[in-house]
Amino acid sequence: MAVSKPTSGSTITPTSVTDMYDSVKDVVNAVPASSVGESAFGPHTLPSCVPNLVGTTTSGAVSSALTVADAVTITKASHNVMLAETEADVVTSDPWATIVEITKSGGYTLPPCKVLVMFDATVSTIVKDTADTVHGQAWFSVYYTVNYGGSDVTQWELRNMGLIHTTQNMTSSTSTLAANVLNKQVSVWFLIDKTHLASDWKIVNIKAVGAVGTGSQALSRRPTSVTFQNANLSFVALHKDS
Amino acid sequence: MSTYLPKGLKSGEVIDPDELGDEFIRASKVASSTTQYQWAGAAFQNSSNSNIDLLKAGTGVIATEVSQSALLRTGGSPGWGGDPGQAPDLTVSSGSSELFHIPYNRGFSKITGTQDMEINWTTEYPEMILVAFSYQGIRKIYTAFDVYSTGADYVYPQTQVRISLNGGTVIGTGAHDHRHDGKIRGQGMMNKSVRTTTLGMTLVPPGSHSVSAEAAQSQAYGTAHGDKVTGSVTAFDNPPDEGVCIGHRSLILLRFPKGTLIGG
Repeated sequence: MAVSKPTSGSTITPTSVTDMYDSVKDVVNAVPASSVGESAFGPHTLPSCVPNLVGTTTSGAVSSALTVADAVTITKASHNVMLAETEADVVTSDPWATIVEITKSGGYTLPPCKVLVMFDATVSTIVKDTADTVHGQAWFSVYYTVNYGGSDVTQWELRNMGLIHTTQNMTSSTSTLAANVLNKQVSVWFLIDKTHLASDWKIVNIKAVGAVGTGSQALSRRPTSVTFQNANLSFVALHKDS
Repeated sequence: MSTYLPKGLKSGEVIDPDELGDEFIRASKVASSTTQYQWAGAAFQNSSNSNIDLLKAGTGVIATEVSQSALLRTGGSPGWGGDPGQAPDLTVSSGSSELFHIPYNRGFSKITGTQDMEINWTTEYPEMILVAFSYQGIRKIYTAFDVYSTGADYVYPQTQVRISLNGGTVIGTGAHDHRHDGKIRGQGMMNKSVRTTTLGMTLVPPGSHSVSAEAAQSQAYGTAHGDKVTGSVTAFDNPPDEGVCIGHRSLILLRFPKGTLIGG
């Protein structure tokens, strides 16, 4: 909106000053969308892309981690229950051992949103059977439990499983080198989409679980254990975008 | 940066109507061409409830994902000694139809399946994107890739993976390499299995874009026995047209519209 101003030599009247004041006031009080360009917003004015946990001022981002000293050694065997690769194999009938978990009493209450889950870890060793120094597997799976206001609901998805093999014992010219050391990095990332919900919901927990498998070898020759170190399990909620 | 700096009137000064008018015009211009510097931090947020941001919630990030699972069927093949085996079934004939068999020596191919690993979108503004590809890589164990009929020595395929943006590689995603010197090292993964996430961040201009996850087998070099690479450059007797696979996979795209903050 243009400002009509008096010219030099003219007489300033209360009306001319008031008109100019009103012109500016109108612009300031009703900034048109066309005047708010993309340059209008900087990082300090944009809202966070991470919603708060409902009823709190805490951002919806949580992390749980193990250090080397916190290494989890798992002896749970997957051999007899991995024939189908189902939720029953991993969660229900003979649950795998927990590597790392995110949980708190009452859960994490979130608005309808998307949640990025990140699991990263190191499989440091797979202790192989003495009769088989070649084969052995480490299995792991990431799943979560939610609550929509009723009973807890476990949500397990096949896509979030992982498998790595051990390696054959390596030898130098003088000795066997660290027969069971593997130090393989593993990672599972995925999105949870709860934007379709009409009301708040809870993440009760997120778990990363693991077990050992035999490889192409007999049950009696399955590995003794698998050790996870430096496991890091995190989630970050992202505002509803649709 | 637009700022409003009123000149003001000094005591005893004769008012020039033109100069006085300019004070108002400058104020109007500042209000009409606002920049981020006119707004205080959190000016558009409700301090008591972030869920009702005055800016539309979610404009800070747009999250998209495609994913596909693929059974490994580790119980499907017999093991040594007659016990149930746990070797993944990576054959076309009886393995999961959702396994993506990486073509041998044909460059990068988009990872397809019931859900292709591709996301397309159009943006009106410049964006910063974070794209992550979380996947299970797995191949048959070495006996499937014999060089000699005796099975004494083996060649391991070199599996490569990358995230592609509009046909080019997202810098930092991998593992991949294009070696022109014939060297063995650094041409991908020889592992029997890998479960990892590769990710990269980059900027995109306004327009239509596409990201996809791609995989390749480079020519396989190096004769190996067990897990030890002991030989020199050697090719396959029978190039593996199956059994070098991508299993479970998720392609995740986070878009951060940033306007002129990155657009210049």
